[in-house]
Amino acid sequence: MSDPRDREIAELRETLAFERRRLERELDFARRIQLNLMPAAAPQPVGWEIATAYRAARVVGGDFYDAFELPGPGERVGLIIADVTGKGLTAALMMAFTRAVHRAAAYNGSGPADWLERTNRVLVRDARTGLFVTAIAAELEASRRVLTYASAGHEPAIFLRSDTGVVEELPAGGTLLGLIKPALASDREVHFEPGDLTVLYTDGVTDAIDANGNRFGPDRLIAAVGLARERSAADAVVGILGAVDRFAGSAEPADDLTLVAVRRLP
Amino acid sequence: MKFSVDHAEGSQPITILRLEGDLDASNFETVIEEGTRLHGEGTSHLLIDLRAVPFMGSSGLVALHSLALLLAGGAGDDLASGWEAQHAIARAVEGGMQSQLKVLVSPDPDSSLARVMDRTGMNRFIEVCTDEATAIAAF
Repeated sequence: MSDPRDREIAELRETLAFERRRLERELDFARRIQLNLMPAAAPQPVGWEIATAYRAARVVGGDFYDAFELPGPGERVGLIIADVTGKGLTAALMMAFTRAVHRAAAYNGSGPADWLERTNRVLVRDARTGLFVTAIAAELEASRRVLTYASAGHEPAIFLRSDTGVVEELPAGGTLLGLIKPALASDREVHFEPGDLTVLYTDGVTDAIDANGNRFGPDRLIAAVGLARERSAADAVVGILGAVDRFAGSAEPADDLTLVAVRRLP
Repeated sequence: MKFSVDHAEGSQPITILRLEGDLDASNFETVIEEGTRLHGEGTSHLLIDLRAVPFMGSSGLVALHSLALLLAGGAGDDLASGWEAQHAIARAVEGGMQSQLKVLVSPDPDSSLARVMDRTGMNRFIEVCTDEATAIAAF
């Protein structure tokens, strides 16, 4: 007859293994829900390309992007890229909440700055979690060839002028969403000539670390965007991801990584 | 991340928490724990010296915010403290710049920390100083 303590230990191990499998299943389910919150494919207005990439550092992440057709006249696309401070399940829950609030704001608001202000009001008032969100929201008006954007404490977008090859950071402004009212977001416009490209990104790109603890940084990102001249938006995204991967090598990613590239076709 | 603690006398006793090393997702919770420990020992005014922090990710902002709320009489960002406590903190936040936590960064105009505080608007909530004596006098 076996020792009762051995039987007890065996039962505990079985219970722990069962609980671990259950948690893994739930996390996997959460991951699939989160991925399904991202658009399966971004709208592609005539004469434009929109490409995206998303990688979570953990099973679930706090980054998100959204790309959707806006109601009303003309071919207009709403965009957002955002990063919830913090990591893991709490950030993922905040991400899902913020995405839904922002989409509703975009359907009812009057432009990216207004969308961000509406979202901020809800986060400050009703989602007091100690987490914040940085974001760039944008509205692409295909026929005007203009991208109107507003920032809420987010990393500046990168813009590549196709004719000169000059790469620059677009001016930003505004404060983190969820911190304080108002978010002070303001609309800015950038006009696209044929072949021009803009890249929105989260700090998982610039904060990527190599084996020696160095950061990828904005300068390497600007260089990577510069190499995307005369490439498609999708190739630009692949090129940037490749540059980050080559830099980071086998180092474990510390943060989620998201990219949105918008290009006017030549 | 290394910590050291000093004390200074301004218009009231001030604890200076000096950090050394990158502040990011891997260690921001230890900063909250250290600040919480100091608060538990009686600290009511805290200066966080970030001059030896070459990099601060967005998680670092969560640490600063959490400690600012803790010192302001809230419960930090402990979700277990309940919805009502969180709304009480919300009212404090809506009051604007809080007074019991300040941060010290390098005076270098290219300091990445100063830029992060400015870009995210966290400097509307937490005062950013570039000189220790000025920071202490500002409490």
